[in-house]
Amino acid sequence: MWSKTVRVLLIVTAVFTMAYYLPAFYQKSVEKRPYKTMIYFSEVSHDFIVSREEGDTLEAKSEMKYYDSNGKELDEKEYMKLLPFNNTRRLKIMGEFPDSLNGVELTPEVVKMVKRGMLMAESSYTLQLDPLFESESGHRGVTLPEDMFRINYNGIEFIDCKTLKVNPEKSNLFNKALASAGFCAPSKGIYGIPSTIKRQDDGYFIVDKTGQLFQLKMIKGKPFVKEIPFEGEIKNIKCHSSGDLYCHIFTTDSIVYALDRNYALHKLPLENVNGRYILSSNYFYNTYKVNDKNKSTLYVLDPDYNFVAKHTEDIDHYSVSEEAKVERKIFPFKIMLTPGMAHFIPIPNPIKDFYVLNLICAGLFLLIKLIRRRKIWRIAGIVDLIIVLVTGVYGLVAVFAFPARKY
Amino acid sequence: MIRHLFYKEWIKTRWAFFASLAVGAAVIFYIFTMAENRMTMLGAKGYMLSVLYDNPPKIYYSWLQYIPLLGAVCIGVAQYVPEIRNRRIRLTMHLPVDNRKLIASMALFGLMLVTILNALLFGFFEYENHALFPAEITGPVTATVINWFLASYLAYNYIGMTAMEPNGYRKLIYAVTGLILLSLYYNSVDFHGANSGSTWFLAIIALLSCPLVLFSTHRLNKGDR
Repeated sequence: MWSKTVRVLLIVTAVFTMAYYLPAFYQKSVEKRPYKTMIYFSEVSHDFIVSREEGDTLEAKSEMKYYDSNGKELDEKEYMKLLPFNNTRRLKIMGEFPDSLNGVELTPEVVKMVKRGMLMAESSYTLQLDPLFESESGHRGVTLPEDMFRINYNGIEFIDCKTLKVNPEKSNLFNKALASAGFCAPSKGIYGIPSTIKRQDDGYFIVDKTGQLFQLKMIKGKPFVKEIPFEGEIKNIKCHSSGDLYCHIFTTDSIVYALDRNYALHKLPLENVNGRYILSSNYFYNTYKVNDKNKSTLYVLDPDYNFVAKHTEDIDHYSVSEEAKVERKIFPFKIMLTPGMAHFIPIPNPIKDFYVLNLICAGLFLLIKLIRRRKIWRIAGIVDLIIVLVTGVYGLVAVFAFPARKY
Repeated sequence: MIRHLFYKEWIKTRWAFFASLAVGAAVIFYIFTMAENRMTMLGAKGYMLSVLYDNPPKIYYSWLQYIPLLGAVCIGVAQYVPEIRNRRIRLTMHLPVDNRKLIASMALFGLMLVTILNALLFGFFEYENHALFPAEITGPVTATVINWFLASYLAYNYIGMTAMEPNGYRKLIYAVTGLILLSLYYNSVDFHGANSGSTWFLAIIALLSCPLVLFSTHRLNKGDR
């Protein structure tokens, strides 16, 4: 009996490995590069512009086509002139860059206000051990300190990088400042830019044990702690080293706030912000592009972060392709490894997609058994049949790779 | 009888054990010598920042990745290959002890040896790691390297099962399945603490692979070809 149990164990192992590797191998061998679809908002026409990649991506014979919001095709020059901040260099070379726009002179300072960046609602990798830079060093840039800080049940602790010993004087000084501001240790999250490649330092935004938000900086060696009143549970904070914003704050209920440098919070009118999105801002507008699996939405906000307009486009994605439909018909499920912490997760396909092939596999299994004149209706045979019915092609391969013996 | 069997296994595997221990200890020594050297050259604060926040962060312990696997392969090969050459295992199987108990004892000895090797290397690594880095780094690093140590058990068990299998076709199937399963333990490390979510699952796979050698030996004993 135990040898039959071990055989089932081997079959399950084989099914697991096939479910992990085969669908991924299938996808790699058939998928095409998805067509690009981009949405822009023109500062000139104050309307949306859509660019779509058309042609054959497999043969690299594709080209971008540009359309206005009414579907009228634009040539490349028209498209560039409608988006002067996206095409500054090329327009300047062509001598077509405007001197002023909407009554505003386009000085180098105005052009420099263009910012682009990727924002993630999920918190990125951090070990909650950070260098606290001097925020008013009197020169441009920042200098890396000799210690790093953490905030645990003992409060804030500054650890010397070389000796790994806690600096009690500095720790006490900062602990007193944090306590007097109402901070409760330990921290739930420390967010900031722990890099020396930045013009200035704004310190760190720290969520305390009770979920309250604080800003911590070091000014002339002394602590600066400011409580920032905030409603909601913070999921992630993305800090910016320049511009009019300190940071974007993401909450667990999918709301995004922008915290400006006057500590004013702006609730952004964005939907479905659990994934990643792309921020682009200039003197006239702030735009946020939210990418879902198969659609992309561009939100346009004014400089005070009030809603102006939004536009949604369907985008090309493997999951909506014919190849993906075939994959769902072949494989009853697949096992994937999530990125980062790496959890194995089974992703079942809809039964209506794969049941036909599973029945064919079961029929094939019975046919082979009959041809070989094997008894089917023994326990081992029934177990094999159930495995093939449930796991389809995986099971069919596995039960014949590890055939049953009579002992 | 089992004590004598253990002694026989020890004679077969001791050099593989000591050689793996020496290589493993040397690699760990090298890892931390390099880390100390970087700290001296770049400054402790600069190196710590690159370990914490480089994109991707400095994975200073990547050399450790295949060391537990190497130890398990050496012990497994030293233990099982002499037994299958000219089918010498059949002599052992004629001893007046239940065959299943006999093979289970052999496998148990091998697993104990792999565990001792892993414990010594892991202890040495942790000692050095804690001496150079704070707990914020050592905790996630430990979570990542544990999968590499778990891989050694899977490798040892699959070597035993493949070696004892009398049928060449099945040997091939076992070896391929073992290699594919082993690849699950070696995903890319993009940050400290990577792959820690799959540890419990990989531990179960390693645990479930322990009795597999009995299956092959059972088939060998029955004279299956």
